[in-house]
This record gives sequence, C-alpha cells and structure tokens, in this order.
Amino acid sequence: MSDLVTILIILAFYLCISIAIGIYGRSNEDSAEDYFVASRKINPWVLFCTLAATNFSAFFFLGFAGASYRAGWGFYGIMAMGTSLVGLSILLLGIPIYKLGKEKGYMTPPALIAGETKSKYLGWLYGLVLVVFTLPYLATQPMGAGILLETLSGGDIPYFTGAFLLTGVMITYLILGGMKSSAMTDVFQGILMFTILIMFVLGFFIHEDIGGFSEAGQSLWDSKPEKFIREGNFTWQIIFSYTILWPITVPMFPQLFSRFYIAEDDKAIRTAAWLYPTVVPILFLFPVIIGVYGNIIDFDRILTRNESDNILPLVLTEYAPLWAGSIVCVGAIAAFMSTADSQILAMSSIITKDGLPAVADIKSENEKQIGRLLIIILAIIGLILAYDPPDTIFDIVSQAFTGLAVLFPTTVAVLYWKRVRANSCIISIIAGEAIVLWSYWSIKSGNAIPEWFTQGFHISTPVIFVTIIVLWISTEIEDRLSNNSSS
Amino acid sequence: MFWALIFIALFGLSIDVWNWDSDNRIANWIPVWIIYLISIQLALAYFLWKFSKVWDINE
Repeated sequence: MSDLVTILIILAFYLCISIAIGIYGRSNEDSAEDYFVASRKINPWVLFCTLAATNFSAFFFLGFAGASYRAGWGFYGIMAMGTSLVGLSILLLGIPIYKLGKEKGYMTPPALIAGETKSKYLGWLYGLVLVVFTLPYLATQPMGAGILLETLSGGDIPYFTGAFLLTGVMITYLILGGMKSSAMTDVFQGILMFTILIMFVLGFFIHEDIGGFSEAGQSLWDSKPEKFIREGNFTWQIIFSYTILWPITVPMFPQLFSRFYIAEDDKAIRTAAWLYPTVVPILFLFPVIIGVYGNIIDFDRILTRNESDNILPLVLTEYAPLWAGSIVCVGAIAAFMSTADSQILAMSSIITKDGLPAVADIKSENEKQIGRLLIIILAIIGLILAYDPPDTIFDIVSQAFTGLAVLFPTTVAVLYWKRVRANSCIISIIAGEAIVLWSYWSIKSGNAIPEWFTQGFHISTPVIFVTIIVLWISTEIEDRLSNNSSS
Repeated sequence: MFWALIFIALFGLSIDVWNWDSDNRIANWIPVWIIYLISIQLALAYFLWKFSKVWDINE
C-alpha cells in the first residue's frame, strides 16, 4: 500500500466518524435557538470538553511546538499560567452571561452588549470587531491542516488540498447539526487529540535514537543550553503581558463567549471553571516538549521561522512509522476542526442575528437557512486567507488576540458596572483598535513600536490599559455632561 | 477581598522574576521552574474549585 493511500484511509476513517457524530448529535427541533445555542441544555462535562477543544487549536498543536522550537521551555511560561487563569474568567464572566442569556434570550455576544446598554450601534461595533479579528484566527486552522498533511505526505497532498479537505468536512457537519453537533464532535475531537498527543510524546522519548528523557535532556543541554532558561528568550515583562492577555482575550473569542449560553445551569460553568486550570498545566507540556526537543534532531538545514511551525510533522516523519504519523496527524486535525467549526458557527450566528437584521428584514423561520449559507461563505473566506499566509501561526494569533482583548473592558463594564454608558464603550473600543492598527502597521513597515509606549511589555498590555482608562474617563465626562444638562 | 488576594498572589508568584536565570533541571530534561509553574497552576485550580462553590454573583 502506498504512503498516500495509508494516510488517506486513516484520515477518511476519522472524518467519517466526525460526520457521523455530527449527524447523531443533531436535534429534531427546528428553531434558531436550538441551532445556535443547542437549546441551552449542555451538561457540565460536555461544556468543559467543548470549551477546551474549542480553545485548543492549530495554535496549540503546531504554533506551540513551533514557538517552543524557537524559544525553548520559556514558551511554556508564555502560555500556561495565563491560560489556566482563563478558568477565573469562565467563572466571573460565564455565569452572568449565562444568566442574562437565559433570562433575556440572548444568543450572541453583540446581542447581550446591545441589549444591556440599549445601544444597537455598540452592538454592531462589538460584532464587527469580533468578526474582523476572528477571521485571521480562523484562517490558522486550515493553515495548520494544510501544513500537516503536506509535510506528512512528503508533498503528495498539497498544502491547499489539505486545507480544503478539512474545511469541506467541517461545513458538512455544521450545516447538518449546528451548535449541538459542534459540541458533540468537540468531545470526540478533544479526547482524541489529547490521547494521541500524549502517546506521541511518550513514543518519541522511548524511540531508540532518542534514548529516553534523561539522555535527550543531556543532549539538548550540551548543544543548546539556552533552551532551558527564560533569560535571553523572554523578559519578565513579556511573560507578564501574556499571562494577563490570555484570561482577558480568550473569553472574548466569539466561539467561547457563545458557549456560556449553552450551559444547562450555572453549575456547568462552575465545574468548567476549575477543571480548566486542572488540565491545562499538564496538557500544555506536550506540544512544548515536542518543540523544545525538536532541537536535538538534525534536519540537514536550519529551519526558518515559518518552517518551524512544521516541527511536529517533521519530528513525526523522522521518528514515527507512517501509520502512527497519520494517527497523530488526525489528532492535530481534530484540534483544528474543533476550533474552526465553533468559530464559523459563532460568526454565522452573529451575522444572522445581529448584522443582517440591521440592513434587511430577516424572518425568524429563515434564520437557520441563512446561518447555514453564512457557514459556507465564512469557511471559504477562511480558506482564502489561508491560501498565502503572511506570518507564523503565533504572530497571526497574537495580533488577533490583542484586537479581541480591546472588548474586555466593555464586556466587564456591561456585566458589572452600573454606570456604564454605550458611548463611552464605543469610544474605548475605537481608541483600543486604533492602537492595535497602529502597532500592526508599525511592525509591517519595519518600524519598532516606541519603547516609551510599551515600556518593555507586549503591545497588548498598554492597549488594554489605554482602553480601560479611556472607558473610565469618557464615562466620567458623559456623566458630568448629563448631570449638567439635567440640573 | 480574600479571594482577590489569593488570585493576585498566585499571579505574582507565577511571574517568578526572582528566579529568571535559573537553569536547574530535574532528571536532566525538565527545568525546575516548569515544575514550580505547574504547582502554581494546580494551586490555582484548587482555589478556583473552592471559590466556585462559594461565589455568588448577587453578593
């Protein structure tokens, strides 16, 4: 049997199971609420699995390994504690969002923001930011699948064919089942990706050429001791910035935010909140280990920044038999699909429920059909963006995450601050996004962001700080203006 | 306030500035500071479990 046939058989087996679960998971109910928020009946364990699988993406599988190959163990410090703190955000934001959703029927993030502030303009702006900054993150999922299949098959499956294949299967089960199918496939895909990843890491270290953990460690220490320490790879300000960024930005992902609506009760969210930091510390070790120890392998050339995102499939082709490599590849594709399907469904629901009604009369019985059509359109946009990726996966998501983090102060204010005013939120979001755009163009045009502005921190930290200050000051001004006019 | 102090303390401990240039390893292959960071996260999970049982949004 040829290599290509082996890969295709294993891949086809996995994709068929995903579609079957998607069909099994679909509901007989025919309402938009069932399609977009699974009738708000998801139990704690499924909720946790779908939150985790949705968040752990191509960035987790390939981006982590690539960045750890470049920066060593220090990258664990960049990712782990901040992601564990997401558990706190799930609790503090998830419960009020769940309660408001159930009480007032909200199904999308902009609906809640617009409904609570009674400002459709704020809702539109909020939705626009969500969609604009989720699209590049969405594109990293087919990118990951394309990279993986192309490397594993030695080029027999071209990059874009792999990306296209993943997208096609995902569209199929999303159209069939909506949120419930997405959550059910997330459980399967989540368990699959973690089991396979753990088995692969253990298999790598017991390989006769590697010789076990201790021998591999000594080999890396002898050749590249800098991979073990943070100094020289990251400053404490950068670790500080990312540890703040993740718990702020992750709940702002529309695919995560929307999942707070689907819980059957608040106990489900409380359970997911503490389970999250229970599993993250261990699971995040595995892709980091692959990346760090990829440095002891001789690839006959120095990998470029973009090539280093391939480190996991490169290690696979070097140390695993093809069938085993294909199974790991399936685990990685599960990670991409569980994120991409949720992103597409969340954006589709935002456009269907919040965007289109602003410009056209949408009948409620047509919402499901429009949502399905949008799923196809958004998936195609993701593919187009993935066609010629401009950066590494880590660089793309860093920009996207900073753009989404700008929404955090507004979200917290809407949920917890009685004095919140829509106009102040709009001003703070525009100010924050203006700085994000300025930093993006600065980097693209080769000009470093001024040190006086960042003070050594990642750009996201001053962006978040400025957004909070602008929200606070503009609320004070608006308050005083309205008090003066009323007195 | 008690819970806020706990979570802020864990955040501060996780940055681990005082140990920045550490190159100590366990069994040759994993840095000691990684084990420290895992311990902090598991402590976070424990306190979050406790907090999730008592926290009421209406308080």
